[in-house]
Amino acid sequence: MTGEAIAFYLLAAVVTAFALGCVLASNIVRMALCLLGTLGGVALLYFLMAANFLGAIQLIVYAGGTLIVIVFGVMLTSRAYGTKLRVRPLEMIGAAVVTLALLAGLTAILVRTAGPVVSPSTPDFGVAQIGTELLSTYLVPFEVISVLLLAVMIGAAYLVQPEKK
Amino acid sequence: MLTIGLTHYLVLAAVLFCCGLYVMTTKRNAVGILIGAELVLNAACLNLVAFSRYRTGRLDGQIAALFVIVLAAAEAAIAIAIFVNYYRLLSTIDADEGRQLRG
Amino acid sequence: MKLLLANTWLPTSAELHLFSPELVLTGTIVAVLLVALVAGRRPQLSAMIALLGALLGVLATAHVARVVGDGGLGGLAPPGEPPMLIADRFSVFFKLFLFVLLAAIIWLWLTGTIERRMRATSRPVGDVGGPEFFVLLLTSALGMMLMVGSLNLLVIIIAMETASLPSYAIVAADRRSRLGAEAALKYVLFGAASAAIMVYGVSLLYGRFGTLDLGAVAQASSLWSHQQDAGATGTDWLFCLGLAALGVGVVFKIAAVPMHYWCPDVFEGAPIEITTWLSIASKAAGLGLLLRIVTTLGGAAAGGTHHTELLAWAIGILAAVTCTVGNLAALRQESVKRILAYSSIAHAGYMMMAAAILVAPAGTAANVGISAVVAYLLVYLLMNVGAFGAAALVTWHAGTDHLSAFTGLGRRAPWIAVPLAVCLFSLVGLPPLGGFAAKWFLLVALGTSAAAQPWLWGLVVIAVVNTAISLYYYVRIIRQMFLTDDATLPRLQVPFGGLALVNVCAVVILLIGTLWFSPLGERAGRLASNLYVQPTPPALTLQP
Repeated sequence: MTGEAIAFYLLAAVVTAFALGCVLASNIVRMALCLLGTLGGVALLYFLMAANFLGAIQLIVYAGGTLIVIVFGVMLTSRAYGTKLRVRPLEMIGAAVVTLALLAGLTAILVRTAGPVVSPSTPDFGVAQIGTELLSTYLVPFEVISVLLLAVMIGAAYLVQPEKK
Repeated sequence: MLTIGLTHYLVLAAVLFCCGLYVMTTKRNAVGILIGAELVLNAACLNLVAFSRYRTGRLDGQIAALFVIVLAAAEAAIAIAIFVNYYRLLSTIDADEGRQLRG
Repeated sequence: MKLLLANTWLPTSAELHLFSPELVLTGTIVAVLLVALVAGRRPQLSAMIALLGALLGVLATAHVARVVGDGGLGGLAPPGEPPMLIADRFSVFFKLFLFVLLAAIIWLWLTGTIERRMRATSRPVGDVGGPEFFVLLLTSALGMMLMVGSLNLLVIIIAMETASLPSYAIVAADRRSRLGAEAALKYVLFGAASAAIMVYGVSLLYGRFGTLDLGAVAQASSLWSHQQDAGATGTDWLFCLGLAALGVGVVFKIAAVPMHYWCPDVFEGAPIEITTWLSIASKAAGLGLLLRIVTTLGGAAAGGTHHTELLAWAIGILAAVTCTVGNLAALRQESVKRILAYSSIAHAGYMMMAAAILVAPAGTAANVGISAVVAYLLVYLLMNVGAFGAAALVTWHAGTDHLSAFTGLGRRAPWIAVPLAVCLFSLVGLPPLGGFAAKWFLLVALGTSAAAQPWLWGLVVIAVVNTAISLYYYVRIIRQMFLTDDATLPRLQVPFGGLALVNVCAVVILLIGTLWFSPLGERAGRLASNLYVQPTPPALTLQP
């Protein structure tokens, strides 16, 4: 068994465990913590796939930024939503059955169409290449998303500012 | 089984996707649903990176994943702002706007 | 540094010229913000700048329309790469459509502000405005324009989010309204869920075909289908799954079944200007994107394949269900905003029916559906601006949008009641109004394509039956206005701007139904012809 395989199975186990934690947690804070575990595990998987820049971004933006926003949200609104999550059992079973069926179907399709295992022949991409691509081929999405971020910033600030008068 | 390839990552992403889908459909909590959406987005990113590494050999999958991460951050920011705004109005005792939307 | 610049591609000024409407819109966003920074928070000033930007946008689009010829132009990508943005007649139509609508919405907002100022202290709730409001409105418009003007799946995702995220925030723009806050909550949760599923679908499509370009995806999928031979129906499940997940996001934007639950609540909770905006623009952009996806996939698969047929069936069934659900649910509503919300779901269903045509095997008739939708959307814009505008004028006055607020409107405010009645009759689709012209072109398009797809006759029947059902709830409002009266109710004092907007809409609807009947069809046909197609098929490396 190669080192890569050991690392993958270990990380896959961690990611799956935390994702299941999100599913089973009855407390919103625990759900957020499990999400942190999942995000970290996925970031390490990116490193395993030699997508170093993406792994770093995942840790910084996702785990460091998005998750903090979510935790703030939990803290600021926890009284309104209550910490106990009630789920009706019948609905839970129905959703579980549907989701498991979907998972089985999805896995079957993916395994059949993914083709044989090929080891990657591509070189590892560096930050310089990603930067060049972002400012040439992907210039349009880059610019559009910057406008979007501006609008989101303004919108979020507008909604949470304290009421005047 | 011992050599790690595309299929392994895809199946893991499918597991993440289904977990996210389950969370989104069963949780009755706004932040919980948002967390489910983040799980699904992570599954999509994992797919993109794995396909880019093992199938296309091009950078575009990674770049797309990068954009998806940014979109997820933006979406979380606006969603949390809306939750906080809702909570602010819910906690103030304001009798003249008592009606709730039906559903 | 020099080396880096030598390898880096930059867009040429001719390319940027082609996308000047988007640039004008972005410039307007910046201008609204900068002026607010210098001159302070003055909502009406921001509105004026936004209105000016929308009018400039109309000019820029008219200019681009002259440059864009047959087949459209693609651009903003390095040579050899598929284009990031495209400009063809269809996308130019959408830009013009959105700019005109934007101007109408801002006009409605200005009217509302004057109205609210006139009765200053009576009702603080409903007061929205400020530079933030217009920045969010304009950004969502930018996203909607890009949704229809791209074939790149990544740009489509980003454009959809650019259209959605500001819309979520703007629904809660009235920060004192609990209804608005709850509507925004529902909207953002549905939106986040559907967007996530959509992104997953795009990742599957990327993996299946190794490209993010929809044109290349279409060519690869039709090539794969033909490799499987005509008779053998091997289904490419990964492709279908990816397409279905992508469809979830599109269906959410259109507010079609099964992603329509957000629509009535959001429309009721949002400020009425935003309800008008979302009911028209969001649906139009979603439909435009749907048509773009379907024509691209269907166009590449000349002769039709097993997959395009599946897609047509799926769209047709969704359209029929959407239409019926919207109309049946509208029967039970008491709030005029909710009636119009369900009516907009039903109309989205009618328009989606045309999307089922486009994968018809007859290659030459490929644009019949688009021209029907273009004509329908133009009339739909007028009908909805008129109906929502009239409802807004009454709502601002009465403080509620319950059906009872419309009692005796025929006597109390004939200049609202008559145009509203025209718009409602047009929404039913009665001649000699614009709504009849729209439905006529739609049904003719369905009927002529039914030679290749006989099941389209089923859609024709469903559309006609639904029209009959819808008569009931539209006439209910009209009856409330003209046949019931309460002598104690005073006459309505309404601002002139609002009256002008509503009456202009009604007059144009009347003109379209009579004098401009055939010009509408011709114009729509021209707008829908010679859309952008990938000029050269890229090299295909496809695994079975």
